[in-house]
Parts: sequence; C-alpha cells; structure tokens
Amino acid sequence: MQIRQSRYVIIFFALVVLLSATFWGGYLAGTWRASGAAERAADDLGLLRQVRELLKSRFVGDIPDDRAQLYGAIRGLVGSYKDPYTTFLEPAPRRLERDEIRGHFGGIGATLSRDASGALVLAVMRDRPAARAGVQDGDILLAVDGQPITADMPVRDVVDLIRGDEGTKVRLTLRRKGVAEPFDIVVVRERIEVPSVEWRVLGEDAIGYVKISIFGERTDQELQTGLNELAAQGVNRLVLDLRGNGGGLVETAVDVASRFLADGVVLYETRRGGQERFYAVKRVDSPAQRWPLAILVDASTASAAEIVAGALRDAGRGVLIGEKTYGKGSVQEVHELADGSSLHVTVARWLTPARHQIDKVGLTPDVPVNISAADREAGRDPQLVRAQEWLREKR
Amino acid sequence: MDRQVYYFMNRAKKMRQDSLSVSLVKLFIGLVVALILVTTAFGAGYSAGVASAVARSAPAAAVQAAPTAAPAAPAIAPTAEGPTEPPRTSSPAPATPVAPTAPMPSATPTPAPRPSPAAVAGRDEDPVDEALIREVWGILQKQFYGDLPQGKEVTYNAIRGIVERLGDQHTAFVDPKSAALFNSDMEGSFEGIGAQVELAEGGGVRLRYLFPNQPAEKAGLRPGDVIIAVDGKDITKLSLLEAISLIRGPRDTRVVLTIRRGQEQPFDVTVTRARIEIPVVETKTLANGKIQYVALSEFSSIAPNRLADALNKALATRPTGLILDLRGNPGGLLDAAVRIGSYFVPDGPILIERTKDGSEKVYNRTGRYLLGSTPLVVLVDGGSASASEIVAGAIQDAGTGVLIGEKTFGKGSVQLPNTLSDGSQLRVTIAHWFTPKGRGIHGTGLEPDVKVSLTKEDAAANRDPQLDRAVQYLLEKK
Repeated sequence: MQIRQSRYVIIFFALVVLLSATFWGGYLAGTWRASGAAERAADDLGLLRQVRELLKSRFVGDIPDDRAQLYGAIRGLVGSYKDPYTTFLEPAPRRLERDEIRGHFGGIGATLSRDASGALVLAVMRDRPAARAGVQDGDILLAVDGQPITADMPVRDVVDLIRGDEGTKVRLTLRRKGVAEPFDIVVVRERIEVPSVEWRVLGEDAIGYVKISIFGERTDQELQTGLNELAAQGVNRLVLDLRGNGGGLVETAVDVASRFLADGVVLYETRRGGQERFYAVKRVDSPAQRWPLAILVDASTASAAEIVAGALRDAGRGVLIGEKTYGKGSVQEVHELADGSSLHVTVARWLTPARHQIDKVGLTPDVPVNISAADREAGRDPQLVRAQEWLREKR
Repeated sequence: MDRQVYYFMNRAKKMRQDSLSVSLVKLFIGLVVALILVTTAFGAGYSAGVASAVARSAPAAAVQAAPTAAPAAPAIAPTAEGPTEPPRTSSPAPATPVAPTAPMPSATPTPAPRPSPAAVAGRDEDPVDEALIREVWGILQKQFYGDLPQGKEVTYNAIRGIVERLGDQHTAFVDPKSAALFNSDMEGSFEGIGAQVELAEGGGVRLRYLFPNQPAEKAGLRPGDVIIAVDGKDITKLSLLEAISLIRGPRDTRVVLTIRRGQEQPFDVTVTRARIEIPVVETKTLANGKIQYVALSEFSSIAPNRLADALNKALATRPTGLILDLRGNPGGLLDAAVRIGSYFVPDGPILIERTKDGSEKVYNRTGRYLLGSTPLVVLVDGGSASASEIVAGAIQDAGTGVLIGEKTFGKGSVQLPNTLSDGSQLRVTIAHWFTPKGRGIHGTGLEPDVKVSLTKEDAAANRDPQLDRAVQYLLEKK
C-alpha cells in the first residue's frame, strides 16, 4: 500500500511537470507566432508612417490632409491587385453608386450640367421640390449650403452635396438672367425615384418591349409590374432590351432571369479555392415564362446583364440580337467601410448555365446587327427592327 | 511523454492477473485524462503567449513608428537631373540620361529627420486611418479572386498612392532594389547605353536624344523609340528612375531592350553598355569673328573649368559680343551652377533657396567674374532647366545679358533622398529656388527678353532663327 501510494505521488508529480512543460511550450509557440504577425504588420504600416512623417516635416509644398493621404494609400494598395474591378470608392462616389442601385434618393428633382463657360446650369423636373421652391430652368448654381462651387469641381461631387436625407433642407445660391444679385432658395429634399425598367407595346403584333437599364434593388418589382401590364394588353412575345446595361446586383439578375425561366440554373460561380456554387431559377409567378424573347445586346451590355442574356440563351428561351457584349465574367463583393467609403473586391468568376466563360470574350449575338452613326443621327434602330421581325416570324 | 506512456503500460501488465478488464479501463481513462490535460495545458499556454506578445508589441510598435529615417545619402545635389546624372536628387526634369558621365553631388548633406516625440505621438492621432487600411488589406487578402501581390508590393503601392496625392512629379518613392542600384551609381560607375530619356505617356521610357557614336545609336535605336521592357521585364508600370536603373549597368554588359516604334510590332534590340563621355562645351566663331559662341550641355563637375577655359579664349579675341547657349541644357550640379553664374554676374548672390519652414539659404558667388564689359546673349528654350535656369535667371536679374529664345522649363526644386528602414528610398522636394531678385523659378520658368521660337520646319531645314536673332542683337544692339 505504501509503495502504491508513493507511486501515485510520483505519477502526480510527473504529470505536473509534464503539464507545466507543455504549458510553457505552448506559451512560447504562441508568443512567437503572435509577435511575428504583429511585427510584420507594424513593419508594413511603419514604413507608411515613416513616409508620412518625412513628407510632413520636409516637403516644401502643401501636404494633402490626412484623409486624402489615407485614400491615396488605399487606392495604391488596392491597385496592387491589378484588377480593374477591384476598386476603392471614396464616400461621395459611393453614395451616388448606392443611390443608383437603390433606385431612389433624397434629392430636389433637377439635373445639373456644365455649359461652355464652365458654369453649372440647373434644369428642373415638373412638380418636384426644386420647381415648387421656385428654381427655374437655366438658373446657375453658385453655392450649396454656402459652399462655393468651383469650376474644377466634378459635377458628381456637386450632385453629392445637393443630395441628402429625405425631409432635410438644402440652400442653393443661384444666379438668374435678368436678376442683378445672386439669391438663395431653400429646397426640402424629397424621395426621388429613378425607374430602372421601362415598357410599352410595340405596334399591333402583340409584341411587348421592356428595357432594363440597371439591375438595382427595385428592378425585379418594376419588371413584375411591367410584365403584368403588358400581359393585360395582350402581349405574348417580348423584346428584352439590355443594351447599355452595365449590370448591378447578381441577386437581381437571378430574379430577372427567373421571370422568364421555369427552372434550371441561372449561373455558376467559382470562388477562390475552386468551390463552385450555382444560383437556381426561382419559382415565381410570371406571365412571361413562355413568351418568345428577342434580347437586344451591345458592347456595353455587361456583368449582370450578361448573366441574364447568357442564361436565357443557354436555356433556349431567346436569341441575342445586336452586337457582341462587353465580357465581364467576374463577381464583386461590395464592402461598406466604417467611414462611408466602399471596397469592391473581385471574389469569383461566373459561368453561364452551359458553362461558358465569358470574361474578356463577351457573348456573341445569334443575329448580329450594328447601329451606324448615320442610324443614330436619323433616330433609326435597326436592332430593334430586326428583333421585331424575328418575333413576327416566330408566330 | 514517451516515458509516461511506457510507465502506464508496465503497470497495466502487472495488474493483468488481478482484473484485466478493470485495469484496461483504468489505463484507458488515465490516457484520455492525460491527453486532455496536456492539450489543455498547451492551449492555455499558447493563448497566454499570444496575449502577452500582443501586450508587449504595442509599445514596440510605437517605437517603430518614429521615422527611423535614414541618414540621407549625403547627396543633396540640389541641382538638376540633367543628362548628367539621372538618379540624382533633383529628379528628371525634362530628360534623364541613361548614361551620364558622373559627377558626384557635392552639396551639403542635410541631416535626416530624427525620431521625435511628436512623431511617436502622431501615430496615436490617426489609429482610425490605419484601421481602415488594415480592414481593406484584410478583406483583399481573404477574398480576392486572382493572384495575390507578392512581397511588400502592397505597402510600396500604398506609399506611392500617398506620394501621388502631393502632385509633385519630383517627389518619388523608389523600392529597395532600385534604390540599391542608384546608390551603386553614386559610388562612381555611370555606365549605360548613351541616351537621354523621358517617361512616355502610357508607360515606358522614350528616347529623347541619342549621343552620337554611343551604344544606343550604334544599335540602331532612334529618337522617339519607346523602351517597354528591359531584359524581358515589363517597365511600363515603373517610375522613370526605376526604369533607368534597369537600363543602366556596368560597361561591356548586354541589355535586351524591347522597343515600340510607331505602329510597328514591338521588337527586341540588344545593346552593349559602355562608359559615356559627353562633350560639355562647344565653341565657335560667328559673324567673321565678331561674335563668340559657347554652348554648355550640362552642369557636371568638370563644366566650370571647361567653360572658364573656353570663355577666356573667346574673350581674349575682344569680340563684339558673346553668346552663351543653354538650350536643351537640363541642369546638373548646384555648385557648378553657382560657379558658372559667378563668371557672368559681378556681384550679389546667384540664387536663394527657400524651404518649407520659410528659412532661406543664399548662395553667394564662388568664382571669378570673367565677362567684363562684353555684351552677352543667353539662348534658352523649354529644355533649359534647373541649373540652366539658375544661371540665366541670375544673369537676367543682374542685367549683364539678355535672354533670347523660348520660356524655360521651370524646374527649381531640390530633392533630398531619404533611405527608409527597409532600404527603399523617398526622394522629397524640400526646397524651391528663387533668383537673386526673388523671382520663383519652379513651375513658372523664365520668360526670355526677346521671344524667338524654333519650329520643326526650322530644325528640319537646319535653320536656327534663335541664334540668328542673337547675332543680330549683338551686332545691331537691339
């Protein structure tokens, strides 16, 4: 018994020694790992700090403020990835982009353009806040909320100043022909909607026309309304115009494709590491699921618009008419950053349901039709004409 | 570990007779408990280690934050770039030579900034900034689909992004590899292909001027050719200095240049590098000996003596007038400019240098006044930069000569190279130059007193209306 007990004591001490040795082993491993990582990060950003300090203390010209330097650094950093779609957007352009995707924003209902002299000229929309507050077409914008508009300011920056939350006020300083002194007008911002879908019936052949200009948050809703309205007017075949559509949200592309497809796959997506996932057609109620489709595409049909065009063609749902598409076969994830800027990161490649890789290749139309400069001047649209012909033959 | 297991096994054997199943169960439980304990201990140790390392690294990082900056290379060479030496401080104004002769910069070294308490504190002022940079970097490293950038490229590009916002083409970041090449250049080996180059739009390096009978010309290159790759490495994304560092190299070595010429398919040319000597001073006599002409092509270290010899000879003939041709002269060493300026300006300073904090340094005359009472015309054009502008400006201010030709380039800034902790280099514009009367040179250039331009047709027909006008001015005194 004595012996046994002393054995247990030995075992116990041996265990204690073993465990503490292991603990310290782990401790050292952890220290080594963490300090290595910390040093690397400190070193990388340390170099950046060194540069900033040097510039601050020595550079003879004006030093851009911290924010501008920060954005410069991030732009440079993002550029290292050498991908045109992996980009950094500063807060102002980010807000405009977000407004576009949302399809609405808080604004005054006016458009801005620069005239030959560089002045910013307003044109107002009927019954919108600007017009109701007394702003007139041709008024020249001098300042927004007291901030003067300079000639080198990009128009989109001025637009960003004018936009804001619905219900808030913006003070415009204007100059008007025939009025001696500049004056102020205060406008209350309202929700301004920008439709992404327009539709109409073409002629008497029961052919409908739908143009989608961007794949935003409200696009699918608008499309549903449009298709139902066209169906109610007896439409049973459709021209889907995706020309000039630069894309938008992938989810919306899936929703839109699902309005014309009964089942199957809209696109495949491959991420880093090679995992593949697919986006299935959603089961939705839509009058257009059997309508013959003529899809108009051109060189600026890109991204989400190419997803829809590719999915519809691979499923045999329609023909592509027009010109070769842009060829953007990558998917970006958009990260909203803490200060209101955003980061677009290319995270995946996508393939059409028949696994066509379209990046830098584009979709080749089934029926190639060009629009010449002369056509444009004369207001002719041979691509649309050809689409109607094709749909008529389809009867 | 091994021993411990062995011990359990021995015990198990002994106990087998008593109750095999019970002892096996005990052994199993013992092993499992031991394993759990060991794993937990290691894990606990690991996290404790990480925590302590992080805690310790905070102050460590603060120390690193201070600009460890490099005792600047003692090459402030506040002069110009000139065909003389490319990678030197004042960066490429109009052109940088691939193959310069090699004056060592001789101006005063400026001490590197020392780490100061303010610098350390400065880091704490903008932790938000770094958080955003880290966030962006983290997202990209985790999610980006495609090839990830290698090495410190990301850091370097971030730095370039900051430097670009300054809007000063002479303030530049040079990565360690290129910086090392420059430093070796400064130690005396200036060897290359024998061409003046400039950055081409859209990237690459355009040949501006080929030195006669030097490797580039002998290999069949022409002015206007654009080098887009060096030894197979694409240079269209590199800065001018980085590109030049690749083109240059020890004499008798070969370099394969990929050339874009007009609409032709890019092609390769192999050039054997050599040591390039550029004639600094060229003289001639005009108007039946009444006018003496002296052209200076660069402000290298030998230029002051060569020019003094030429001037003494020319002035000994008691000419009606003297023409000093500084057209296309992109500059060189500041010391050379001050000495040469002294030849033409009898008294007062040659130039004034002003730094960020408003402090002034006055550069006084360092040479003998040679001109005497001989009427002088200085020929200048858009290629007259830096040191050329200092001399022309001093002469204009002193009223000892008139400027004929076109507006000068407008490069009047001084760059200081700072070596950073990892061997890369930041060349910072630290001062601007002003003429003795306080006129700024930088960005504005000097207006000639008599404006005469030289058209492409003139050049093609070998006409030189600027020189003709200078002769006429000196002969007719108007």
